[in-house]
Amino acid sequence: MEHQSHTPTHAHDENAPHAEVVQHYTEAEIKHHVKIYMGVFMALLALTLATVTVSYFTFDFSTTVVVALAIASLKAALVAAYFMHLMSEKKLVYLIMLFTVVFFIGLMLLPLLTQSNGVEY
Amino acid sequence: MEIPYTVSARKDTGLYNGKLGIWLFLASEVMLFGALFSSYILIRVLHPGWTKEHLNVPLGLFNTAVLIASSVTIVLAWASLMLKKYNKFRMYLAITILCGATFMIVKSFEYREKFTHGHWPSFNNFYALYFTLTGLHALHVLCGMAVMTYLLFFGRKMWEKQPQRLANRIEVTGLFWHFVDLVWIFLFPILYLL
Repeated sequence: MEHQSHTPTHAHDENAPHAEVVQHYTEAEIKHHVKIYMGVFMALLALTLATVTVSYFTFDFSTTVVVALAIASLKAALVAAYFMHLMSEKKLVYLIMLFTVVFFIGLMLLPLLTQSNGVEY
Repeated sequence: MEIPYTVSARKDTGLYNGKLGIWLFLASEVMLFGALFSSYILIRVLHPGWTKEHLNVPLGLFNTAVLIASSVTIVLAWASLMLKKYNKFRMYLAITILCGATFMIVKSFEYREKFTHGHWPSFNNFYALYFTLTGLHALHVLCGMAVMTYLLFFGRKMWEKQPQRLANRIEVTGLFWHFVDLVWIFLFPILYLL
């Protein structure tokens, strides 16, 4: 196993209080992050209000669905990109998510099978 | 036995182990909720007898705002730890837990209102989906609150010995909490608005 190649001293250093850590953020960077978080917060609240407001207008049903899902997807993207730090993640995380998205889309399309098979529902 | 890579990243993955673990877990969570969303589409689109039931939109809107706010406070808790401000971290974590509790209280009022009108999950397809989806989601909120409460009261020892390890735990907890928020972002429109 990979981690066994570490010498005991190294393993100890790894978890020591002032050892080198994963993130190398400076104080200024963290403060900049906080500003972005507040901006995203405002955007999410605005989009939530927008989706409720739009729901009171009467469009045809498919337009309503598309608008509601588009706003929800935009909100989800903001949460994932900024709060979940997906803007700057390691390759492996993107790879896991890519697999997940592919299978998720498959799941969402699964109901179509009931139609193409002519299953009476 | 010492758990490896709780602080620094493994060379091959580029991640500390907790982060890789939570992303794999979230991948499985996407599929769990995905199966239920897929059921929603199936029943909603292909079933002729779908009836749209009325839910309390202002309460749903309020809960959406509460969850979004709690997503912000958990990242602020993480940022406070990175700035070595432990008390501020505890404050933000406590606010996050309170937001979760607020969400659950509002949800329980909504549930009770439905039950008093005889709207149980067995009432029709809408309520079956509503209670399954929001119930599973509420369970996730409770689990997130349990983890955060533990870290709030038992985090100090780790903070003194391994501050970055605690910050990583908070980051991982945050990733889960954002996912719970993300699920609600979709549940709100499909159940309350459409």
